[in-house]
Amino acid sequence: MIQDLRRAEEGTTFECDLCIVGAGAAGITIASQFIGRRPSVLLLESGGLEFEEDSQALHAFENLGLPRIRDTRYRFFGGTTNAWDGRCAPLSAGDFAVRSWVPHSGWPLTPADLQPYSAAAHAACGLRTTEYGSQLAASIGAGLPPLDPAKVSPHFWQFNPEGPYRFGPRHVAALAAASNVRVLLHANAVNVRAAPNGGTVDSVDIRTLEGRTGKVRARFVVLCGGGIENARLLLLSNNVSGRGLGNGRDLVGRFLMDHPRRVCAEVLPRDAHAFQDMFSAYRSQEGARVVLGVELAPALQAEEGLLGCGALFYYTDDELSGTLALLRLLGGAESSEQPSELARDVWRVMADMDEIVINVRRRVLRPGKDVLIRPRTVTMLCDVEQAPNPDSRVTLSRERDALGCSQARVDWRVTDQERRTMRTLTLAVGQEFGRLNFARTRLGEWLAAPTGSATYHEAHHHMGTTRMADSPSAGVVSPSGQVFGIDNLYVAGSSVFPTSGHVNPTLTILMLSLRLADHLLARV
Amino acid sequence: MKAEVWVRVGFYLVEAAVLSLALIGGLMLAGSAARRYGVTFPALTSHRMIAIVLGLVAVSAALGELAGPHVILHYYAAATILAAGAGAWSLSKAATALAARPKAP
Repeated sequence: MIQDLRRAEEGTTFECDLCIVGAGAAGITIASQFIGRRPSVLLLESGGLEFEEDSQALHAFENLGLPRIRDTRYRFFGGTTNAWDGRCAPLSAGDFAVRSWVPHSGWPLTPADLQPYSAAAHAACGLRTTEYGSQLAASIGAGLPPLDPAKVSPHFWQFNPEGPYRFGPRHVAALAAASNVRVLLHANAVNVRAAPNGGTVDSVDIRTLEGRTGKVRARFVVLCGGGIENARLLLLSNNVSGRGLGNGRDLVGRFLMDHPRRVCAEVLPRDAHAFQDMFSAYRSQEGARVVLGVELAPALQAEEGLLGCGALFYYTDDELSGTLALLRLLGGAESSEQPSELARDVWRVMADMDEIVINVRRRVLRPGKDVLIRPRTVTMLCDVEQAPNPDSRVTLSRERDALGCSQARVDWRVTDQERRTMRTLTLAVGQEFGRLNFARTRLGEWLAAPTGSATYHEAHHHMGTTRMADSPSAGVVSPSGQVFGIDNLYVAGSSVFPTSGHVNPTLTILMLSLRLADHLLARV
Repeated sequence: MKAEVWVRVGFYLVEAAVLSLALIGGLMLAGSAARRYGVTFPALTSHRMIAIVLGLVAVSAALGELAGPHVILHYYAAATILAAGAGAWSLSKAATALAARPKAP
């Protein structure tokens, strides 16, 4: 059932067994696991089913640290999956381990704890395979480059072959049809009320932008608002403790992480087509769409005290490419429009017939491969793991949003360890490509000196602000996702990640959410 | 992902047929030019043409299966022979016309 708080009676109290705050990847996944089960579920969504400017404005925040883009999160049904490009990969075993050179590293879980949820998490993103190693390489017919495994390893990322998987449109019908699940739109959670003893939560205060208020009484509450909003809501919920819920040790909001991202090198391939053929998209026998890149080998990380780091290669098309000209001509033919540069394009096709022949052969002999267009430039784009840093944090601002709640104040800090990691990976890739006679690489000027400050693009992956730990002295939530000291309050999503790895977080978010759903199904 | 076997076999046959046209055409032009100069050039009998087509099927399949779709040496070879044949034929034609001109007394 789908309802809208704007059309409910003022002061309505909604009763349910489980209240989920936030209808993004984590919230929708948990709610979906309860469809057809006994417990009643209320899924709160701040926005509507479509994008709305005024709901989106509630995401405004005060920025203190490195520059950040404001609209990297989406506040309507489906959350930020409404905008993601769908790139997925699981964390490696090393990402879960305690590393002496990475302070605060180590998960209270092992890969084996998440493994039972891997297949379901992949399916939930529309991914076709759970393999990422040599089995996947064999299935897609990829000839992996013989890189020195002590320095650099090939690394696969996977995409949904049908395009980015939007959780909102994919799940709305099933959730609407479920008799035990209610989706409440335009319901902004503004306070999670703790019982006077502080050991449980009683209710969640909700409010619309028009001023209508309500309350949710639930036996269990799960916060699924994302890496910034989960911390903000805990800090805002201060009716019992002035420091906010679960914040007895001043850990809520700390350890804010993202994946610092930047172009690290220009690559000059010896054979542009062969290079692009290797480091490009593949389609496996199961129909999976995967992309091959590289990552920093764990041995080199340990040896030089570095973090995880991965890179993909991006191509800008050469305007003189015959294939591009042919595609323009065919596009013009299809749309009955006169191509703007007909004579030039015909000449480019004739002059670049070899590229066209190669693409015809690829289309027939390797139907899963993308069309090759000779690149003008090849760039290496790195995503680096961010070291957990207690000074990188989310706190509450003095600025208020339209609901009267304190905005988030984001102080994102990146240390020199991330820069050193990117530099080492780029140099190692350059050495390996040179040794194999694949390409030469030109190190980005910002990485020329061994040390120094840098700015980064964020990857819009907000993590770590309610980190998971074995004990309340080291984190905010337990390995099950329960807020330490509060029996019926849980947190899901990337805010519970103790470390981030270098891969995109959604797959791990889904595995953790499915695991939490199992836990809650046994408890609720 | 590899295409079905019959698709690949069909593709190699079509590719060899197209390249045979270029290769045999180039050889015919070269033979014609050679005859103009009085040079002996092996005749392109039907048996030899079939041998060329089958040889190209083998080369096409070998390169496609072993070296991958972006290795197109056989295209370059066929194009080179066609271009060389056409060049030789054009030169011989011009030379013949020049020789046929009346000479000054």
